Amino acid sequence: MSIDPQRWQRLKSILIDAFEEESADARRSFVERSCSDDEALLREAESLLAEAEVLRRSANDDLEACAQHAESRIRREGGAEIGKRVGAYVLSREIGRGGMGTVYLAARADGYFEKEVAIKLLNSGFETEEMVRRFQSERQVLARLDHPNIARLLDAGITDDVAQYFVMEYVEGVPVTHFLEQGNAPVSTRLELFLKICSAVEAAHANSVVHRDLKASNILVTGKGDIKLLDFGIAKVMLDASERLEPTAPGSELFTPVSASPEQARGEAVTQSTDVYALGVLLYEILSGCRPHRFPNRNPTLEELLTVLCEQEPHPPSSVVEDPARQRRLRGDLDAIVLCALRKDPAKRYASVKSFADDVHRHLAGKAIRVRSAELGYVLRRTLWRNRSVRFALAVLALASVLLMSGRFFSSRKQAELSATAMPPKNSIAVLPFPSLTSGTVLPFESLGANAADAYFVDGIHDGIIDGLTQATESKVISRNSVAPYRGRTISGREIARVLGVAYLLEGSVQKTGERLQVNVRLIDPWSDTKIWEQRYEKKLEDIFSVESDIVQAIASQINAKLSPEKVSALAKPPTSDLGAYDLYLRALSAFYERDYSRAIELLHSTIERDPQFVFAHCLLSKTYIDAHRFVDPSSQESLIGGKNAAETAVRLAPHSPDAHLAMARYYRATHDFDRELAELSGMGIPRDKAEYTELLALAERRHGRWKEALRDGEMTVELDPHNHFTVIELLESYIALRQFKKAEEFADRAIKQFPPDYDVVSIYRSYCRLGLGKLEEGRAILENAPVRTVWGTDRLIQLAIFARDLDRASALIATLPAEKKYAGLWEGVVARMRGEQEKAREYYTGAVEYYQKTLADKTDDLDALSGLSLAYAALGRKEEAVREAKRAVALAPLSSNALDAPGQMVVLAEVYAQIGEREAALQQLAAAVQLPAGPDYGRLKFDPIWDDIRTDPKFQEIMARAARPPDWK
Amino acid sequence: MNVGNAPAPASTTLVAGSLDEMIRADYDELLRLAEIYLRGERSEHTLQRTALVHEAFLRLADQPNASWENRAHFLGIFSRTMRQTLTNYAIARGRKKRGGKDPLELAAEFYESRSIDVTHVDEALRELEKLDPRQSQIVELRFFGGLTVAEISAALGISVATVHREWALAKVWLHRELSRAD
Repeated sequence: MSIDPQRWQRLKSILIDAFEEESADARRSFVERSCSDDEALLREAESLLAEAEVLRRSANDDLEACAQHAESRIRREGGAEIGKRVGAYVLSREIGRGGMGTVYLAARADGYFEKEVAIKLLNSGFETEEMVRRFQSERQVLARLDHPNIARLLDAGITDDVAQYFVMEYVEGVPVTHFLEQGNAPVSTRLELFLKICSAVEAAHANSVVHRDLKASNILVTGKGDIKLLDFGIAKVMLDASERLEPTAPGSELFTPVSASPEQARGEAVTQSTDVYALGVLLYEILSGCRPHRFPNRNPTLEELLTVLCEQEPHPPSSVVEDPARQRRLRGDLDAIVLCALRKDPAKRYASVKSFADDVHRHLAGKAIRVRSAELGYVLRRTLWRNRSVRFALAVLALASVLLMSGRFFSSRKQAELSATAMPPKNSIAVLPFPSLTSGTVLPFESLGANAADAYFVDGIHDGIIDGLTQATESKVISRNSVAPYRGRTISGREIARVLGVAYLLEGSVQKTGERLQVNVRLIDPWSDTKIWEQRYEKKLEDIFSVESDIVQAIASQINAKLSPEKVSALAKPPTSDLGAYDLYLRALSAFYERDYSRAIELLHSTIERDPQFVFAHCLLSKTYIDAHRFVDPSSQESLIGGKNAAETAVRLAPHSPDAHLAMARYYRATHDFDRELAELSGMGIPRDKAEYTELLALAERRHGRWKEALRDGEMTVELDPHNHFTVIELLESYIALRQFKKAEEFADRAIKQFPPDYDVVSIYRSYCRLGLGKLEEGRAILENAPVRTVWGTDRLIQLAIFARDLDRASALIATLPAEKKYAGLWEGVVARMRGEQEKAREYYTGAVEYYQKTLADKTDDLDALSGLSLAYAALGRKEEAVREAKRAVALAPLSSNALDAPGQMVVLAEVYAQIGEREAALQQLAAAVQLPAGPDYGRLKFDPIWDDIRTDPKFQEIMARAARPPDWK
Repeated sequence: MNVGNAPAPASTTLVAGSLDEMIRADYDELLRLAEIYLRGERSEHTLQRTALVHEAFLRLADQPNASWENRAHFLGIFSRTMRQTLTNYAIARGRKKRGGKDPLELAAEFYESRSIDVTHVDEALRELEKLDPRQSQIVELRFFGGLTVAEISAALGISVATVHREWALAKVWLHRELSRAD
């Protein structure tokens, strides 16, 4: 054949154009003209055109007929309709089926618009007058509603075969409850999502529309995290009292039985209160994962339905969740709110969706909720608590890490693997969480806490095995953090192994009966789905430590991991001889993981009282204090001192214990004493939590400018603990500091899937990478289009808008910043000066000076405040003070022990010099900083208006050129 | 999760579901489709139902990217399998009618009634594949797989109009190749 692929493409487009011609002659001459330069192509085109003319004249297209026959071989649901034309659309697939009709995915038949729509067709064969009326009513309902959280009606009509249809916005998403199950979303996130749903329902109510079938499957969460309400199929328009509100016979009402309200089940009048009830059912499910009512079977009879819905009181949501932390969170306010919405008598529920939502808002804001306002003492408690949390909130806001705080250390189960390696190393293993004890087991330590769940004990053994494997073998053992999301796993072992990058999985279960302990473990090769080894240990409770060390040794030999003999013998040695103290320790550990720090501290003090020599208890106590300092109240000196004392005790008791030195290092990090931190970490050996060790090591190395080691250890940390947001972000920061933007972007793309959808942290970093590569507008686009925007994201976006000289956008964004961020980036002043509003600028910078002086009065070495102060002085022309403060910051962050902050402070000093007209001094600082990791990147030099006066200087150009081609610091 | 504007996701619940669910749903679909095809399977027919499912499952597991990709991948494997099955069956069957309600036999009879020799279509497609792999895949999905134009559009992430054009041109080309073969 004389035609090659390239010419075939040309031929195809010639023929397609030729087919547009009206007559056969015109088609032929078009082909001749188009192929005049290519004889072979012309012959081929003529031959095909002739064939096409034959086909056009023939009534039979055999190939088409065969294709249609093939179509009919596949049984499709609602198959008769697929491919059918409805209005301007062609139905492509069934996506849902309800009482009223079937919903199809469809696209425009002409292919002009690729946007897909959902088309609801009234079920054929069921066109009773009542249904037609309802169908029309829904069209009418939807036409009234134009709300971003309600799926929009685009078109409606009647098909050729007289079926009614309407065309709706197609929503890609997952039912809200399903969405929440995928992640460990904290209660506050769940409530915020719920409030979005309320606002959509409120909008419907404002248009006199009652949905009447609100349930999780009708409420989708889109990829962007938006809510969409679907299916107003049985919604009712309630215009005024005179409009037909015909009573329907009991049971003839269309609704979903298990989520119906008592009045629907009784066939009584349906009002907005019905939607309040349905939202109560939904909130119950969102918070607890369960429905409020239990039915005897999936399709209860009307009688059963009436019994359950109208007579049985639902249990409070807090009583149906297993997680003790979640129980505590729901008890009180949230129980009361949900149960109020679920009251049998519509008159006793919240009067409107708005008042329901208001109470949820009030709860979130820490205010007293209305429904409990009658309870004595409640309001007072609330008010006190609120004042406390406001103070905390302000303190915490100062930290960038506030975004990482919402209890979301673990990402959702849906994961992209972060390790770049295709096949996991041979001796790598993840120990999956053990399921909790079966009920009915006897707890030996009941006296220590009534009602204590037994999960802590099982988790303790699980932890012991992970720690033992980590310490005694040189294997890659996934940290507890990153196996935790697989508790009660529903995804395949192979998928888990792929995500975690391990060759083996260990599963197990623990049973404790009286003083007897039974541990079953199974080693699995998930790649071939084979069980490699299985063992049951039946021991006395006091042998718990020897069981753990036996298991560790057995696994090590199974996966050919090297064992260190002295480590093994150390492992078998009980960390405490007092089993009661050990039990308390395990409870504390469990409280710690639940981030219930005050309880953990309390339990650990009791532990240490029983056994003052218990080194790990001191280590955990120190860690708990430090985490409380980091995440709860950074201004608390008490926590810091508690952390220090406990770590020092541990080191005194066990001078060679890696865990004790890790505790010490953690304390030094909290006090920003990076020199001592690194000294503690160096040569201390592998502690039980290796991931935390490599994380701290990487951070300490980075501070000391040892970037090569920092990258190695950071990457190792992500390998061991891939579901930890902190370590992922820390590594991302290192790549960016080293100007490895491409690598950072690649990593960010892999990492983004593990962050909850309401984070913009990865977008922020990606925008930085783009900027670093000189692509300002691309960087802006990433942030402008990020599905969510936090204050941090807004801050960055303002900076980029200023870089782009888009002052209107910058001002609009500045207006959205919270009051306490007024002076954070000095943005208002920058914009005012760029607009030539000198007086306004002066006023602002004067305020900034005052603000930062106040901040520094509390915290004299706050680098951010020093930077803000010096730049504000510079803007006001107070040259000497500006240089003095900027130099003080440079001195506080010496390159030798703070390689991460030092270059940034050098740039601030350069910015001060540039503003006060000291060009040479500015260039000198920049020239030094650009040579360093974490120094100024190309985009910042190219676009920041602060350099406008010196940008044309050849020396500045040279600095920019250097920034564009950073050296390989590794 | 968000797969851009053109391609259709497998279904609303599949889109954001876990890979596992996606596989399970496609697996069900595969089973269902395979079931239709292999119902009344005969001994001369070597394709084992389990083998088909297993292979598709493994390949899907290797491609966990976007849902529409998985779907396209699955439908591709399915259509390819159908092509092989139908072609092999046509060769084994020869020109004799076998009778019975076996779906494969019914398919073969239909081709016969339309004077289409499936083995020739298979050969012609091999040529087309060298010229235009995507066009040949569209033919495979449509002619052997029995997918509608809209389904192909969704699976491959290209517009309905494009699929229409490609299929129409491919038919012209195939008609000519088949008449040459006769």
